[in-house]
Amino acid sequence: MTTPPHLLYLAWGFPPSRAGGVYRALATVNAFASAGWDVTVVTAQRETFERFTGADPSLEDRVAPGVEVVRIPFEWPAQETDIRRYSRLRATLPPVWSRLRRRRDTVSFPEPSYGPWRRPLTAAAQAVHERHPVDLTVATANPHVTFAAAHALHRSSGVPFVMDYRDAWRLDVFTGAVTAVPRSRVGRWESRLVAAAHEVWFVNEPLRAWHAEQYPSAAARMHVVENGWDPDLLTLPVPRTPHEGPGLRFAYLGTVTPKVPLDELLAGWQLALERGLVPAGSTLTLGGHLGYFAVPQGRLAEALADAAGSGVRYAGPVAKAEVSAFYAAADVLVLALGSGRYVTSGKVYEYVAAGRPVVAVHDPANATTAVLAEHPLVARVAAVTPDEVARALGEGATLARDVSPDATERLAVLATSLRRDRQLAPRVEALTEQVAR
Amino acid sequence: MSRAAQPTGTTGTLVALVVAASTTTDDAVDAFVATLTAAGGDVRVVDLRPTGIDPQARPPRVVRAVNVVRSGARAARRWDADGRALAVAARVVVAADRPAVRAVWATRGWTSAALVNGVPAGVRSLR
Repeated sequence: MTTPPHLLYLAWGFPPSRAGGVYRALATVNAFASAGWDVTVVTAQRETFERFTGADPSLEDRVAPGVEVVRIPFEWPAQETDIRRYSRLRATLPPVWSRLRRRRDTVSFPEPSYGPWRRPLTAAAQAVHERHPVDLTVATANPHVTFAAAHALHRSSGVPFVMDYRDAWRLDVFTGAVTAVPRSRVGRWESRLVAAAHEVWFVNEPLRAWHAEQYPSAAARMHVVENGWDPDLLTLPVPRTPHEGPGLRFAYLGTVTPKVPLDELLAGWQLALERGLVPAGSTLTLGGHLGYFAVPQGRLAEALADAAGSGVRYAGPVAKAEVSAFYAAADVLVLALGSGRYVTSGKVYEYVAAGRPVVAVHDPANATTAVLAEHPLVARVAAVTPDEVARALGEGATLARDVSPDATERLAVLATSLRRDRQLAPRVEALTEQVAR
Repeated sequence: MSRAAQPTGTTGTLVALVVAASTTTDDAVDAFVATLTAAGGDVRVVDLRPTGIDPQARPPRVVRAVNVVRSGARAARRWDADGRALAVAARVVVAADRPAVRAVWATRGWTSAALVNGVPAGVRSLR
C-alpha cells in the first residue's frame, strides 16, 4: 500500500469565510482530496471571518472529510471596529496612524495589512511539513503573502509549489494599468516567486497571457484554471417556478459593486419598457450584496429605490442555499459587469448552468465574453450605453420566448463543461502523476 | 448641538448614532438610521456636524486628511448634555463617519456602551 501524497494548501480566505474566492479554495482542496491526496489547509482563524468579512458556518460542512484545517491568528488592525481598542494616535491623528501602520505592515512583505502574516504563515507551513512531509504546496492569492510562505518551504525543504492567482498582483484588472513596475519590491518578489514556482495558475487567458509576456521563461508553466459553477450548490436542471401575471422575469444575481454599470442598466431597463422592447409587466430583480459590505451601500440602494416604479426590485443578499430558487424564478438573466479585458465573473458559470437566456451587459472585451462564446442564447451589448442595454434586453426577451430543444441541449453540454471540478481536474491529474514519479 | 434623540418608535437596543462630517448628508443619516433600525436598534442621532459648510465640497486629498483631524477634534468638543446622556444610556455608540470616530473615542471614559466604527459594525453588534 502506497502512502498518499500530501498537499499543503495555503489560503487566507477559507470556510467559514463567505468571500467570493472561498469557493475556488474549497473546490481545489476537495478536488485534491477526492484524487486521493492527504490535504492540510493553513488559513486564518474563524474569528477573522466572523469579525471582519462575514462568515457562513455551513460552508465548513462542505470541506471534504479528512482534510485537516490548521488555523493561525491573523491580526487586522486596519479593520478593527472596536473604538475602545484604538490608541490615542489612531483616534486623534488617523492619517498618521494609517501611514505608520502601512509602513509597518510592509516591512517583511510588500502587502499592506497582510505583510505581517508572512512569518506566522511560514512557520505554520514548516511545522506541517515537519509533522507530515509535504509533497506539494498550492498557495492562492490574494493575499499574495501565501506565495511567500510557499516559496519559503520550497527553499528550506525543496517542496514544489503552485501559485494560484485569482486576481493579479501588478495589474489592475479593470483598467489594465500596471500597478507595480518590475523594479519595485512587488515586482522583484513576483519575479522571484514565478521563477521558482512549479506551476502558476490564472483564472482566464488574458491574465495568463499578460503574465507570460512579463515572465517568458515561465510561460510553459503557466496554466488557465477557470472558475466554474459548483454542482453541490446548484441542482440541474434548474426548474422554472410558476409565474402569474404578464411579462417576463429578468434577474441579476451577484454583488453590486460600484464597478457594475448599474445606472446604465437601470436607464436601459426604463428605455426598454418605454419602447415596448420587453413585454409590459416585466420585472427586473436584483439579488446580492450592495457594495462590498453587509450593509447596503447608500447610493446603490437609492438608485434601486428610484427604479422601483419601473418593476425593479432589490431582493437583498441571496444565501448559497437559495441560489437555485432565485434562478428558478427567472426567465432571463442579466449579467452586468465592470469593464476590463482581464475581468472574470464567477457568476457567469452559474448563469450558464441555470439554462436561461443571458443579457450580457458588459464591455465586449471583458474576459467573460469568451465564457459565453458557445452560449446559444446570449444578447450582447456593443457598448454599455442605455440604448444598447435596452436593445439587448429586448433581444433577451425574444430569445426567452422560443427556446428550441437544440439550444437547450447545447446549453446543457456547455454547462457540463463549465463545472468547477472539470476546470481543476486536468491540473490535479497532472500534479498527481508528477508527484507519483 | 446634538440633533439628539428622535425616537424611532421601536423598543430595540438603544443605539446612539454619531455623525460629525460635514460631508455626511441628511439622506445618508436617514439611510444609516434605517439600517440600524432594521437590525433591531432603537436609534437616536447625535449630530455633531459643523454648520455652514458645503457638504458637496471636495477639497484636495491632503486638505481632506487635515480636515478629518480637525473636524474630529472639534466634534469631540461638541458633545452637549443631551448627547452625553444619550451616550451613557446607549448600549451601542456608532461612529457613522471618520470625524465621528474621534468624538466617539472621547466617550470611552464616561460610557460603558460598545463603541463601534461604522454602521456595518453597528449592525453586527446588534446581532
